[in-house]
Amino acid sequence: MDKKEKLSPPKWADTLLSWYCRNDRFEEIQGDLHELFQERINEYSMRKARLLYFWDVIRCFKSYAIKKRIHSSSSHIAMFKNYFLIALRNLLRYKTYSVINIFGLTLGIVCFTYIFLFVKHELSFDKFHENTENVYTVPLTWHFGATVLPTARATSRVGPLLKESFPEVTSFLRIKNPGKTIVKSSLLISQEHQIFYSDSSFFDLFTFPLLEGDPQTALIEPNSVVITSSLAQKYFGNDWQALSLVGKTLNIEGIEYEITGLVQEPPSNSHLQFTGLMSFSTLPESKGGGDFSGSSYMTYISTLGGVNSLTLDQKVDTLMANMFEEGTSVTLDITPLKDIYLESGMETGLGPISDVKYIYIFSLIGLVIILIACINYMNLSTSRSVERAKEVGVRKVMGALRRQLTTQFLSESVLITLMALILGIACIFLLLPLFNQLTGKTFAAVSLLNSDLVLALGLIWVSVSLLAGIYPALILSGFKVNNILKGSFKFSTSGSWLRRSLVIVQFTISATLIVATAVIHQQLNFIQNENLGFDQDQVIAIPFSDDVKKGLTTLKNELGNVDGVLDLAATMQLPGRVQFESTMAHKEGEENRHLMRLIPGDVNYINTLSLKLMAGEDFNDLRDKEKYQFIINEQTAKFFEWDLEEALGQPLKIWNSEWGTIIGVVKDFHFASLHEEIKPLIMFYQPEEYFMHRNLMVKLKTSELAKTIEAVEGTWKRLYPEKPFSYTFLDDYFGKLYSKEEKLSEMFTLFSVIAIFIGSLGLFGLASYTAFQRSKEIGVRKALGATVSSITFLLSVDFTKQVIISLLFSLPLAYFLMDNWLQSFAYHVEVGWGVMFFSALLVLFISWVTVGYKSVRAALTNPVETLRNE
Amino acid sequence: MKATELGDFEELVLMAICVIGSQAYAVNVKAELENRLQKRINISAIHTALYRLEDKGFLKSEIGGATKERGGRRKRFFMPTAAGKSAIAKLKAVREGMYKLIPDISNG
Repeated sequence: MDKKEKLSPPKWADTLLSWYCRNDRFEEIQGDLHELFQERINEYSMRKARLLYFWDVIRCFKSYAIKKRIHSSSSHIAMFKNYFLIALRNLLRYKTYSVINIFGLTLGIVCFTYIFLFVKHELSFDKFHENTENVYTVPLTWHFGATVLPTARATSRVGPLLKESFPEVTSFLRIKNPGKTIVKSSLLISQEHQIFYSDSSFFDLFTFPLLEGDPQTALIEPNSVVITSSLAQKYFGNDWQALSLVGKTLNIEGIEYEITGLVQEPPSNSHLQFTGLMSFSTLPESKGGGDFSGSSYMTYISTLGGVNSLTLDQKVDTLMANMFEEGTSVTLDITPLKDIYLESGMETGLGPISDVKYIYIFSLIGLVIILIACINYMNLSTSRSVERAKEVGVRKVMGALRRQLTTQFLSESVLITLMALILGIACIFLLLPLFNQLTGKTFAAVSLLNSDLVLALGLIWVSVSLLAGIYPALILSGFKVNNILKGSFKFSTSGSWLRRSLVIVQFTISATLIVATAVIHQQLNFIQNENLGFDQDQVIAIPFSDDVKKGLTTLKNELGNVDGVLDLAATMQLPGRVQFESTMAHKEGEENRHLMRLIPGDVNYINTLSLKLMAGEDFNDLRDKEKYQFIINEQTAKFFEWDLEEALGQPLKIWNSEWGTIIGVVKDFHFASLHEEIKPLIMFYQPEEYFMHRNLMVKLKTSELAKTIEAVEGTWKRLYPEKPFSYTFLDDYFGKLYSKEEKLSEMFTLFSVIAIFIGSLGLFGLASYTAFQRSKEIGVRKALGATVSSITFLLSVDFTKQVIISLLFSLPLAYFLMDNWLQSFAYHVEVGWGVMFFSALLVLFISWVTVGYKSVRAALTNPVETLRNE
Repeated sequence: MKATELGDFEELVLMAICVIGSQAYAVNVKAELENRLQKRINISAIHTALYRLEDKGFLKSEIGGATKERGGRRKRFFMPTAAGKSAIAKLKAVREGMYKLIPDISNG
């Protein structure tokens, strides 16, 4: 920088000034600013003077200085009127194109808005609590030697321990989900699933407004319960509000609870979905500071503001080290409340959990669909440029500037997008129930009317208008006047490579979505039809509570006599949910202990599930009851390196203390989701009165299912008239494991149909335009003897090429993406040639139908029609 | 348009021009006012007032000759019109008339 330049104001600030400042005042204003600048050099540093100069330039951006770009405002409005008039005339004259454009954009806008709503709702989870920033959950991870066992919950000791040890932890909260509870009021007996035990700090950590009752004290006393308004309505009738329920009692699992509060329904964007909260002090484990056995307590802590969770995490790890005997340790992961729903992947058991991956996928799909619709607009407007060329020429001759023409064509896309937007908004409200059904959310039409959505729609309007309109506007306004008016202007080839590439982009996207959909369907089909190794079609599971268990022997005997009941056995978890290693096991003469999965089973367990015994026999009650009986699966035998026969009679130790003998080996069966491989499993015999049993599995004769279930229910009602009866088929239960994948598959099917539909609309528009353009050529060809099929071929071959190129892009892309997805299943289909071939054929077929219709019509036209008007 | 309305700041600018005399332009008007009011004023505020006063007919202007100090750029000199002068006088009369009616302003 030489000295002279140093002493002058910044060049770019001057450039800015000259850009906006009107010419007749530029000199004097710039002069004034320079003079001030020179004064300031003496007063301040160079740097500051230059900065102040720039500031002055910015401040001078006022009406007195700004160029009047369009000379008079009345002709300005008149011009815009004319633009919109011409735009409307064009819309009405070329109805096909208008319909294609508006319809495509409408679909795109509707999809995009719905995805926006969905994503926004997902991102809003747990952010409504006043204290969100300072609340964490502390999932506990067990480490047994090299084996790591993460859980979502913690033991009852963790919360109190953290509060005692760290001053920055202000309070803790433990929530335990007891599973099903039987609730009884004077009106109704029914089952509830979402009534939890909770510490009294619940309303300190979370913001769930109470309608009645004191949030500070509601959950302190044992046997207190806070219920939501929906539960109150269910158990006390529609006029529950008049009853002043606080102080009344509600019978839960046979115990009278005093209602100490009424709470509003938890909002749908809460990871905690409860209908009632019972005081934690009711539980025996609340006495003292809790202990380290059994991790079934979702534990939250709140901290002082400004506490760094990473530092706290390290301190906690230091505290937890050395707390256990050699070989066992636990770690706690301090996880922010707002990350639980999307980031943690924890099975909280207290409400919904999602995955941030889906947010990305759906956001991407939303953008891609609107992009496809924009491409349609771009292609259709540039391809029709010849029709508009004369208009452009005349306007230019009359003195229109390029800038004005660009504005004109942009205003057309603004108009079309506006129409699509209005239609789209109507559709958004009309189709809302469908959307709710698809996503499992409950958006109310009223709640949509907020500033965020208005802002988003405004943004869509502007960005779609620009994205779709800017390229055609620049092309159309750039035509050379003399070319157009001399008549030498013909079909514009300059944009045709771009049009082709855009079609390829559209079809690459559509084809990828189609392959993805096909693969997801195939995989879902596969996991649903895979032989799970146990009988899932004819076995029902009846869940029961503790007080039923006392008379379970009677129930079993009675049910055994029902016609159509083949076998029955009590158990704890049903196949499908044996997800965690829950015991240490080791064989005789070996020090190493191994983490294994464990299921308690009743007499006839193996028969009821129709598991295939490879060696040994089913559980029975004839053996020595002092000793444990085990049935293992093939994986366990393999793990301990036994032959099937050799395994029989082998002693095995579980829980570090209980020795038992293996009495049978079953063929491997899927006791957990097909996401994971079959792991070693130990089943151990426990008679029906065992405290862990939760379900009675009943195998029914397939021929008379309905009648048998009715009879079973009758027996239940006779024995337990006060207890609700419910049952699930094992296949339904198992199928629920894949509800996420089913949702994904539904969404993909819908979006890929929409994507290919919008893409085809555009292709249809292009094809009909090409047919129109070449109508004279077709006429001459036909006059010279070309056949209908050869002309159809001629017209389709160009588009076919583009579709084939897009397939070349999309198939490898889809293969890569879907292979990646399939890796999340231990048992999965391969992305085979079949799917690829089928999808490619489908895309080709759709494009042929789209293009072919127009091509055949063009080929069938009588040449006289097209040739006589020359 | 209410061309005869005179804003507060516009009035000050108009008076500053009368004070400076024949060589009044944006920069020395700014200096004059900053000096009297003891506060910083951005040049754009002066510009706005000057051009608006000219539009309203209180000021007239002409381009001066080339100058050395600002890289040869010419200045626009402003001077009050008859309407401008009478507007100030009128405002002054109104103010003084009202001022006299206030019982004792120094105790206020």
